[in-house]
Amino acid sequence: MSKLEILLRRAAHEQDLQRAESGLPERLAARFRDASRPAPRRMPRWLPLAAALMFTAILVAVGAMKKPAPLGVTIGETSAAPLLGAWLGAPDRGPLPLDFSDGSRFELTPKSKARVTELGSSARVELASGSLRVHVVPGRSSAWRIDAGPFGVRITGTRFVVSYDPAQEVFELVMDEGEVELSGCVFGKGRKLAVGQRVRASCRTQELDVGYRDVARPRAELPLASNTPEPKIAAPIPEAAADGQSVAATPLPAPAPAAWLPLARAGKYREAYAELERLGFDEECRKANAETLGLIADVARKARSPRKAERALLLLRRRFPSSAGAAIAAFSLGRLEFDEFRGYTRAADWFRTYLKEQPNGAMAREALGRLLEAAYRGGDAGAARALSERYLREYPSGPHAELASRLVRAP
Amino acid sequence: MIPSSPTSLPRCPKASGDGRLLRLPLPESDAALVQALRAGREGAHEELVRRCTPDVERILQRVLGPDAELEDLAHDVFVASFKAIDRLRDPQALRSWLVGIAIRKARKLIARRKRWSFIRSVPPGDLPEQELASSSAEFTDALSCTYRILGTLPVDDRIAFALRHIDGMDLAGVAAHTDVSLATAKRRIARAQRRFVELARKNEALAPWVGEDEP
Repeated sequence: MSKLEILLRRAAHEQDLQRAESGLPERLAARFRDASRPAPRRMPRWLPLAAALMFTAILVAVGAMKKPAPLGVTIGETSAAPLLGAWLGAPDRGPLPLDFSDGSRFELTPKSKARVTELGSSARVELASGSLRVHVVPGRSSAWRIDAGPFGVRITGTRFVVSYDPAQEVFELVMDEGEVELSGCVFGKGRKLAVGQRVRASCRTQELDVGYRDVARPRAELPLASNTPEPKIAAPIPEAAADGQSVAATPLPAPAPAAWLPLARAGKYREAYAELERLGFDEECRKANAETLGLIADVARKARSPRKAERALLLLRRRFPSSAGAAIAAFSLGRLEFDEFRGYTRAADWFRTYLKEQPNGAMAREALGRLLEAAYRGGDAGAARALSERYLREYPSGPHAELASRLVRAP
Repeated sequence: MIPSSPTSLPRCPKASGDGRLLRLPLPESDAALVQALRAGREGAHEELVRRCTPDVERILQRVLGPDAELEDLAHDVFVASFKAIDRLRDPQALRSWLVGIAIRKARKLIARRKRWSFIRSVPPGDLPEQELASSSAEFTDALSCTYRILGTLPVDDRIAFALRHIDGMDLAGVAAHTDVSLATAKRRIARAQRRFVELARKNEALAPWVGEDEP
């Protein structure tokens, strides 16, 4: 097997591991839960259609009176709408404007990246990095929204510049007009920002600096970008500012109780784990359901705390023995034993447990492969050979096939 | 003739006595599940989704790599399959049929993205990624670059390469699922491999993974 083949097979293996933890079958199944309820057939066939048409006509008439038409958006010089959810990158030397049909305009500054994630009576935009100049025309019924990493901005009608640097996890917003509501991370459930104010916040350092634009550095013209020098978070300004100007000083708010969750979902495992420890690891485990326990274990494992991960997984199996996550927990316990503790006999026991509980599960191939590897590394040559023969029968081209063939051929 | 053994008769649920309707379990075989779907049995759609999502998700992962639209695409695959379930000729080939639909959906998505590339849509690989389950930073980079290079290949070549070399599908499978002859499938894979190796050699993260003997 060439190096490239090894890389590609390992890529597949990683995808298999991710898939085992994605929970997609359950989520999708829930979407189709009521799909097959038989519809009553006693009424004439044309009746539902006529009723639907009439209902639609009423809705359209009411909607035309009450609701604005759905927004349209054009990007740059093109007249076509963007692919919803596709990432957009501004060129290196110029901005990329997003013009909405109600007159609102977003402008991505050079090198910035964002995407439109929702488009209805208002829009939702996710800023991945860089800056976005925002002008939302007031008058629409529902609020617009911008997501930037763990931060959120709710807008009703305003003009401002928002920036986000994912490398430093620094969020910045400078208001020109109107009012916005900020949420996420240090902002908690919601914090309003009024005209003329600016805010600079970091989830990583849990610092928050709110002030007025005229007494702060002119940040609106200095959008954060990947090539800008490392930004320094200003210390919170004291309540009574020395010069007596209207400087709004903000003590750090206490993080929300489950602040580790958005961090974990954003892939910031070390920060999420630190937050879990701050809240009390065992206490959070005690309150968690099966899904959350799995996530806690994942956070601990990726934050290099395998013993804590083990504790969460064992708790998951003890408290939710018949849940779908219990078998996955068995597989994860086997992997912990194998990779972290080098306990091959115990690892083999966990992989056997998984195969017993989920013989056709998504991780069955990996579990059998790991099981034969654990038997081999644990020195049980007889079991390793028998498992290798079984593996080759069931997965002749699986990622462990090469090892299995070698073990079968061994004298 | 009456069967001699009562065990050959299908088991019926016992009457509950209080007039409740007991729901029969959905069949285990894929072919019988297809029949249940066609008959409009309650829960059949959900069961199909639960049973076949791992296969659909796997193929989409292989072809697209890490992708924010994967879940929605998997949803579309099932919606399309429900609409076309009456046209499935061999109910035993349900999973293979779904894989074919998933490949066609992925192909459409890639082609649509390429059409929109003139406004510089940034592939998800360019954005901050979640940490991989069990990997070094070098491997994470290599994997990210793998899909970035695949993104530059013609869509049919990319799909054939991903199915053959990442999913480990045999040649006949690649040909059948992409609806081309074996020779065409081979040609696409070979062409994609040549181009992939050529680009990988110039890539810092992938160069260590490409040996001198690679074609």
